Amino acid sequence: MRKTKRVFWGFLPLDYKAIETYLEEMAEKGWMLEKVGAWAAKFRAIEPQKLKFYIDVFKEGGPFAPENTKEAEEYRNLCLESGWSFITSRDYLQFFYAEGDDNLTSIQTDEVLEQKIVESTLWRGQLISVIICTIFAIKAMSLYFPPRYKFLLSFVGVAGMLLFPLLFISVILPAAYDLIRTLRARRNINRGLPIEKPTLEGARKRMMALHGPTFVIGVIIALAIITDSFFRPQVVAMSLAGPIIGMVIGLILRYIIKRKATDKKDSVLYVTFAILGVLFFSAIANPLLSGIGVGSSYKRDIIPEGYPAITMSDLLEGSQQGTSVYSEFNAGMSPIIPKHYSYLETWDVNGTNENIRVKYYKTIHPRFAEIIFNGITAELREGIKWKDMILFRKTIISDDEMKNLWNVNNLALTEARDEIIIQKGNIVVHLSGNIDFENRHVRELIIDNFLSLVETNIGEI
Amino acid sequence: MDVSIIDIVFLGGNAVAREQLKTLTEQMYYILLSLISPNHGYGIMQEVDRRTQGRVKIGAGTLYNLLSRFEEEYIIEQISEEDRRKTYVITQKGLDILKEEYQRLIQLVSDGRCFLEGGKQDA
Repeated sequence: MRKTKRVFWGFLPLDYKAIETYLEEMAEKGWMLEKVGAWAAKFRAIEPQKLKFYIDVFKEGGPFAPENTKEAEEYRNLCLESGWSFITSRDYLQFFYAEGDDNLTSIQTDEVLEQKIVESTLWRGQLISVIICTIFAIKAMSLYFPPRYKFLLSFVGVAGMLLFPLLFISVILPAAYDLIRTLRARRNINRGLPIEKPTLEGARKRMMALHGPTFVIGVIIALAIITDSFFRPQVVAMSLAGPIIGMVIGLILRYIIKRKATDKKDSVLYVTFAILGVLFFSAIANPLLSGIGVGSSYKRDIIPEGYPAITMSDLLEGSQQGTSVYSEFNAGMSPIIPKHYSYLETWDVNGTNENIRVKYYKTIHPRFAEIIFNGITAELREGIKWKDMILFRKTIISDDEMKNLWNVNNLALTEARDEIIIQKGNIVVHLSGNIDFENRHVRELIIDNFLSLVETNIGEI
Repeated sequence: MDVSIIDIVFLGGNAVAREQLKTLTEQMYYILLSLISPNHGYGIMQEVDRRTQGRVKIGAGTLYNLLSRFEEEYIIEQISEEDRRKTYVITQKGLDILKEEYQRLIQLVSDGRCFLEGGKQDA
């Protein structure tokens, strides 16, 4: 028989009274609480027995308070003298048990006082965490709104764009519910009614309502990150470096404050060190990682099988001679765009460097192809903002005659006619470089290579 | 004395006393009463239990919260500490509050006697 076991611990702080029932049930099954962590609680095997549990809110505890301060020891000692044995603590919550004595005095005997402490600790703490979460959620959502076509190119982009609003809702709704519960408890106190004790069943439902969607969304985003890291590991590493460094520093800080410090004043010092640490690592890590450059494990110098493309050699006329100087191929995929790539090729043609760049997108539906087409043309039109300047801004023109000639749904050109963006059905191609788009041979080559693959069942719009 | 009961038992910005009653709670009253002589936490619990013959029970958490607040407000003071056991005694300020409450309770009983027993006599 196992001596210890860990179980998922997702109870909401305001449901702390319901946990007593849960612990009583566990003791009757032969499991005694030993330790409570952020996500799991550790139980040890005991003889199945009836035990009484009491979970109290210690107003001097908290996420940044050491667990074993002199005050906490004094308070626990007082509880012990009155018959309650201390088990463990987690932030504000203190866990006690007693062997079946029906006459044992409860740890809290003043409901009003207890409610006020709950309001000033748990509720305030939860409100602060919800406000912080909301700020982060709004900041994160602002990255995805208005949606940009580039989000459609990666798994994380698609997952984030679709799931962040849901994640935001899954955080806000339980907080709003807790606010209503707190207000109801306060109203009951004012009316001289007892505080409603949450049931274990209700606490479990709330736990599922809060953690269920968050867990599912978290798993989806984690899978998206893993999939994206296959195509662009350094980009993923760069974006994860900050949160991972912050999390490691946070966990070390928490361990030192919670287990090593014995004075509340210590935590201020440690938090200051942690903030300085994060700033220091951010200052070092970012330039270091930026220096690595944005690479791709899928980067190669030839176009692999299965990717429709045109190369410089296809475009060269018979009289032109040249040699390849450089070529680079980068591919990616997402649930919306199962195949996309960028190909750059530079040739030395009769002593001068000529190049072409091909960007190809095959989407699951023509609607997404249109979004990509509009996104690319808007990006070219707006240019790139750098300091107070706007660089690479281009004038985009449409040419209906050319559009009919190419037989595509959408076509846009730069005024210099050195770039063309075409969309037909579920395919978008963006070509630039030393290409003569007016040339019939070039047009046929592009149509044959790219647009003949438009999926007719979804491509015709 | 210009300190009201509500001022005294103001807990971290939250009024603990029953504002609607404008009085100390029964538990507060007995804790202060037990500290006329120096006493420690568990001693207070036992003393209150003994004096009220088990009618008023004070939980350890409630006692800890009230003692720490009373101490902050200088209603009681710590006079010694031994083996994580602090011994407290009521201050002059606390004594004044207790006497004021005592007078108020006497007034309540007196008013009650006048109305209830007087009513009986009239009948």
